[in-house]
Amino acid sequence: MKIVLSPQDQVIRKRAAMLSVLMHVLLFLGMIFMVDWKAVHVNPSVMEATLWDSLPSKQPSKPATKPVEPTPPPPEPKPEPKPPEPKPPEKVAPPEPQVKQAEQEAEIALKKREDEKKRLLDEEKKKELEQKKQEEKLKKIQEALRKQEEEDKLKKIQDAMRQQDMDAQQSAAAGAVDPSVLNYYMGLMSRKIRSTVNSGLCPVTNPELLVDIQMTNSGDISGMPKLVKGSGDAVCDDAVIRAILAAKPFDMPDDPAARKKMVDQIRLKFRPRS
Amino acid sequence: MTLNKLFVIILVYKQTKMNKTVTMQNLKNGLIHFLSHTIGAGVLLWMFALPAQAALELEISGGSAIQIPIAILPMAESGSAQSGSRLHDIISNDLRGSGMFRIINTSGMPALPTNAAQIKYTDWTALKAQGLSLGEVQQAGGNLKVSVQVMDVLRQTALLQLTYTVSPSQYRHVAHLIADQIYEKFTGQPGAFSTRIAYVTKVGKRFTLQIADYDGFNAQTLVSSNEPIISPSWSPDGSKMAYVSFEKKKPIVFVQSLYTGERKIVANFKGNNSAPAWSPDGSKLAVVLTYGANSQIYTISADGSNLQQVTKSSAIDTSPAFSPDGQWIYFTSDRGGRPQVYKVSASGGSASRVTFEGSYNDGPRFSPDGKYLTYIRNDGGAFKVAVQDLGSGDVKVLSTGSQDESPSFAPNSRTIMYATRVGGKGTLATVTVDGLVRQRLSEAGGDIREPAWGPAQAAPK
Repeated sequence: MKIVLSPQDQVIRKRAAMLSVLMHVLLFLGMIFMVDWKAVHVNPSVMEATLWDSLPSKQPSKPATKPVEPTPPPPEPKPEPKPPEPKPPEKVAPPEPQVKQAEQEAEIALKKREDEKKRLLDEEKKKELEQKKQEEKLKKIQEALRKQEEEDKLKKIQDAMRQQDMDAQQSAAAGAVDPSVLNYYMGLMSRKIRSTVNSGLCPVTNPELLVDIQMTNSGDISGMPKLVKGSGDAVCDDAVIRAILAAKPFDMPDDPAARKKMVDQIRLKFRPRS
Repeated sequence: MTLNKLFVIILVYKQTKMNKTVTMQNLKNGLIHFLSHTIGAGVLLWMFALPAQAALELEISGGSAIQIPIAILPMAESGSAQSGSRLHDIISNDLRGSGMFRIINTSGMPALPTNAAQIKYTDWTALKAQGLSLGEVQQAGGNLKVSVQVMDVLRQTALLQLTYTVSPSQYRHVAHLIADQIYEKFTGQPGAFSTRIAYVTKVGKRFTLQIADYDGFNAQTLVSSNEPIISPSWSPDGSKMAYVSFEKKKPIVFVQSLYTGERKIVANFKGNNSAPAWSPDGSKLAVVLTYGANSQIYTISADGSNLQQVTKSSAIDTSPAFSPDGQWIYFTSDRGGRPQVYKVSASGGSASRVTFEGSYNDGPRFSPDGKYLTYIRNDGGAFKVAVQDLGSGDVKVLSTGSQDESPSFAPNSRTIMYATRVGGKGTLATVTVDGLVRQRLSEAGGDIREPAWGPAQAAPK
């Protein structure tokens, strides 16, 4: 049976066919781009195991890869050709004199030479004498110079020593102190006072106290310690002042500069409950 | 000088620029202005520079001294009837027992001063003394006139000048008063040497409740019975004593006046009536009754009215003690299986546990300052005095006996008194709250138990 389509239907059929093609194309594109075709490990925590018939030998297996061959050493640089040595200059032979004339001339020359020799000898003697005189003079000068140098050196050393003394005196006057010496004696003082502080008489809040003392040259305290900042508790303040007084006298350094520094006013900072 | 010149030039320039005539007056004013600024700046600079010039600074952290070295010299006693009991010995014992003082031995010293003018301070600083007490006792009519001077050896000044006129019977008491003054002068805390204690003695079959000086001297009987007397408790004002007597063949709580000796029954309910403890205001007592079935804590007015149950448990609750603020009652309970200290609101409610260390903690007592709690701990089979710092929770076992009991604090919270057993007999002992100094008070004879340290304002003798 044949179905006859009207032109209107044919138009509709064409449209439907086009729509169908379009939809298929879209579907196809969607499949390509939306779906990941690659296989994915859904459960990565699954362990992979390989079954062995026998345990591998403990000997280290040979590396599968070929060992890298050592690279050949770089070619030694060829020594450069030495430059040609310069040739020594050729000796020129003196011309031979004629025999007769030569003998006469030789006698005259001999006499002359002897005279010349005598003269030269005299001159040499004179020169030697002069040289000796000069050498003696030189020696005298050198000795004098040496003496002078030694004296200078001695003087320099003496000056240096004198300067050192003066420096020490000046530094003592200026108050330059060896910190290690000062620290040592201040540490002794701190320990001695600490041993007499009755911390049980101070508040558990651990207040800070500041006390100024004036040290004397002999390690005693001049006058009474001065409470600069109290603890807020009269008994604690009194206990700390008593501790300072009970701890004196203190050891003093022999070094004059350090001693001078300690004879200054010292501020004591207390934390009795620490 | 150059600065000044420069300034004058600037000033002249400024003045001419402002079309003003440069007069000598202007220059003078400007110069004064300039100088005042220069001096001001100089002073400022000097002030800032001062700390740099200032002296050495030395930090001293902590302190390792725990006792104050003091010399208590024998007093010049004229015609003393109290031979063998001398004031300086009593004062020395008091101060030594407090743990706060180290008494310097003066027995080897040749000539001891009896007045301040005779003191050679270098002798005493050499002995490391910080304090020095001296004085004299004179007969004045029938009385004793005691004059004491306490010197600050380090400052070479007088710290105390005390004079007492007392009857010869108050000889020991005046020594305790002097010790109190010295203690307070050096520590800032009141002494507790003139306070009194209560304890029970058992001689033969007779039980006696006694009141004595804190060191066991001058004991006086308050009540005596052939049946046990236990648990004496001082009223906060020191005028009354509550205790438990078995004289009626069952434990009954009595309250007795120390002035008149008059006494009355406060708790005589069905079952046992025991362990009275005063509230800080003295208006009521905590007591333990087996009124229901098991021992429970109750409060009752001091006149025996207004009974209120505080704890309601199926366990044994006993040994109550009010906290110094009156808010809490601490007590012993075996509700956790073993005796431990618990606390409950004074008006009742649920209890919470206080002690956690050890398998046995019993009989809590507060320090009057509220900082410590003392109780008996079973420490490896031995019953010892423990103290708990209520701030930190730290617990320290203080005593060394095996059957120590009934600890109570001195009114200054520094010392604890307890009963210990020596040679099968009970005796009194004290220990400082830091555990450093322990003393046995051997003077009080007999078999002594159940001590209770009285308040600061204990009744007069």
